[in-house]
Amino acid sequence: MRRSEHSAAARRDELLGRTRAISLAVVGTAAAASLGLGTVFAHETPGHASTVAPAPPPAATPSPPAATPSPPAAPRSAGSSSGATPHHTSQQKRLTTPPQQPAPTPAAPQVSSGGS
Amino acid sequence: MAFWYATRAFGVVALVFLTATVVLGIAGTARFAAHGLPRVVTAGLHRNLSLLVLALVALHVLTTVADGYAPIGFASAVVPFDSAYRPLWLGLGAVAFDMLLAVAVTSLLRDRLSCRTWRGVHWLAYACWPVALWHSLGTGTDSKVPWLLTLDALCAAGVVGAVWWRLSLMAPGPGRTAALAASAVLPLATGILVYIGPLQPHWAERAGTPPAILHSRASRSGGRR
Repeated sequence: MRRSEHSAAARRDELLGRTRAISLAVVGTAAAASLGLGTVFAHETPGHASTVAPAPPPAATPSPPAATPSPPAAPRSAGSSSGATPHHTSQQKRLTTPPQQPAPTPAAPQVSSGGS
Repeated sequence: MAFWYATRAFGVVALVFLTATVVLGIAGTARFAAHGLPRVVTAGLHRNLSLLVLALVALHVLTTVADGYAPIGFASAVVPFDSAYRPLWLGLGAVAFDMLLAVAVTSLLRDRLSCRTWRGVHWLAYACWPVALWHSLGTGTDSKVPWLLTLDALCAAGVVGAVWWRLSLMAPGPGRTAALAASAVLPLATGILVYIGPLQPHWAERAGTPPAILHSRASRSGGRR
């Protein structure tokens, strides 16, 4: 009688141990899957890898000289946002000028046809 | 930004493990026991998985609120259709979370409840799963991604297969017929929802994304979809 009780308790402990082991493996899998998926999302999302958002057409604002350095409010790298303000909130407040304006061409435009 | 990636990852993983929990629960109702997996093990796994799902959903909510990109507060996680961000689809997530909480709490208090009450609340798990799936499809940033759609389809196939297997063990009757019909109609409706919803252009706008977020998105090159 005592032997059967002992074997039943051993069997119960073995089953509980198996449940615990599988559960721990599942938790580890969930943690690894969360980390992996987060990494995949971080690499797949457009805009995260790109460093500069395209600027709006500069038709409304006068163009600064070509030698003007990049303004401090130029878009930052999406992945390098830090501090209290996330990059997406800082970008949605104002439109920024492009970091470099196209250099003006000194030569006159060439006419390939239709000139007289 | 890291919070946004984390919340999406936790959401996807929570859905997968919720699927596993539901399948294990259905298997448990049929007294299923595999070689090396006696019922006491599957029942313990079912319980531990459901607690894991709760933890994952809690992390999903925490990271969503902490991110601050979308105007979502803690109240929106439990009060359905309260959010300004995709109210219907986020509200479905709140409904699923509430049902999951009810199922988990009544299971933890099972000794103090009547079997009838516990079982009645536990039936919410069958409703919780499709609602969570619709929340994922409707508000998920990555609803259009093929491999995630495949994952959703696999989850749906797992649950529908388990339900059909369970129903095949039941005696014929009106309840079984209704359950079979529901398990056939719901996946079809979900497929139609995906086709006319997230797979179509301008879904973010139609889903109820606030204009401020849409405009900020448009000012960036391919921000969050």
